[in-house]
Amino acid sequence: MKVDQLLAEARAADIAPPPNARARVLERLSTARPARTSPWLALAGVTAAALGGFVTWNMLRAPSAPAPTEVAATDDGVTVEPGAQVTPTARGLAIAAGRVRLSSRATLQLEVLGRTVECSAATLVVEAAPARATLEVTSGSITVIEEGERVVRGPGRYVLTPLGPKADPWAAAQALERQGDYAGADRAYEALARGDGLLAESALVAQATLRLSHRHDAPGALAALDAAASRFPSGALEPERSLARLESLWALGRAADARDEAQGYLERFGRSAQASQVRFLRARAQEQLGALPAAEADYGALLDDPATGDDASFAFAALAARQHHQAQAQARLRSYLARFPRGQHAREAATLLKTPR
Amino acid sequence: MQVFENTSDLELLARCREGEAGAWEKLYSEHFTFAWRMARRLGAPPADLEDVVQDAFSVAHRKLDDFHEGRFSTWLYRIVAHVVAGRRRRQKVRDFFSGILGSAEATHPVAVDDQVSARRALVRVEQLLNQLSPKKREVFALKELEGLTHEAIGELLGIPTATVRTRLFHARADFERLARAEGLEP
Repeated sequence: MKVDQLLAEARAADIAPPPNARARVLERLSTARPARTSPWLALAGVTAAALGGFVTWNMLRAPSAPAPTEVAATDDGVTVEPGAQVTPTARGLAIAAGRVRLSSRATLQLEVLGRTVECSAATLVVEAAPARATLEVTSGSITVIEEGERVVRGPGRYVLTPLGPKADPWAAAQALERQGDYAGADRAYEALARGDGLLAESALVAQATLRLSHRHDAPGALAALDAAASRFPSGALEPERSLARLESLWALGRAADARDEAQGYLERFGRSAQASQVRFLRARAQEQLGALPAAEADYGALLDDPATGDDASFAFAALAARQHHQAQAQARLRSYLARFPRGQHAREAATLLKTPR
Repeated sequence: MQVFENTSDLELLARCREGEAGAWEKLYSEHFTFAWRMARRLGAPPADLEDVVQDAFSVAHRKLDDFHEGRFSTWLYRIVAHVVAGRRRRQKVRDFFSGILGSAEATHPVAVDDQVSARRALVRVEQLLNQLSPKKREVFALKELEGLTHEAIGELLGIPTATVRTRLFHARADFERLARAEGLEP
């Protein structure tokens, strides 16, 4: 047979999903457990709890002024009335003053009085002034984003006032992160880090975690942690800083440095809630560096640990297999299944034990 | 392919971000077959396809706010590719175990209907593709099996069309070399 003939026949093979696969997966998606977080740490939560920040906002109040003049809805995109101050932005318009009529078929983003307003298939009139702006939505909906929080509103008349003096920049940065605006959150933490005290230290650590977890920027995370260590050598968040450094080093493949950082952490903060996770990571680093007995000792000590036992028990079996201790590997796999019959490696362990030899 | 012609994705996405469950289900429904086919073309074993697609949509839903521009299908493709690559890494661990424990069997034997020559051909092609590097496999499968244009492949992978052509050239050379070793004629 010729290569082209084989490919032509292969192309004809039906690889459409089987009947009910779509519904089955949708059902599983709607009932699935939340995704596991990083096995190492959840640092953002730690720093957030440390500061106890919360978001305040005072947007979308009921209007007290007389209703603006009725303007007929149009379907011709954007109409800027004479005298209005409008600047195009990357995703829409910034309206500083004056009256603008809009009809957006897709999503159009407005900047009004320092807030972002997303218009989704909406028809509205915006009348902006320095002290207040009126948004009259005649169809569709708008989403007003203030300090990262999103409020959706349908047809109606709304008034935006300038942001109050109580705006909480820490909460705003966190809200941006929650909303997935990671670049915006990074900038917000950067601005906070220019301040002093615990807030600045927290901002640097939060920035490092953000870069590591969401921006896949381990070097950037290390840079933020270096800045924190240099400015706050005896800072209140030293344990969190060490954890973030450890994870960054691991992400960069610097196993020896990660092992040393883990060692230092365990010596200083060995009784912390994260100690077992750090010990597990030290074991991974030891294994990667070829220090198998040290890795085995760490895994062995974590077999019943609530946070890392599942991973550690499976790794314990893998380590025996790696050293060609076949009977021991099988025994450890059985032990793993006994401990974690519904564990995240249970299917693999069961498959491996059933594999014919 | 319908996903490249879909113009309602942005509206659906806007509604998804507003928390409208029906919009998410529609988006899922419209891209399910695409995700399924791409996962298969990227080498996900048939027995794993439902899990791969579930993982991909789960990630997409969680990171919906990260998607700002371009085609949703392109973004989804990259998530599918990431999920498949992650599973391939875990498969290596399984293979490592299997080797140590003395099995020569694949963990996921491919289901073959011997009565259907097209399926048999596809299995044979996939066995050859499994020996290519992931990058070469990707362009080769998208071009030769999925029938996409160079431009469409470039958009999906986020690489220039010229790179697609170069990668495809080398992938074809590798594939033909492997096929000849299996007794096929060039």
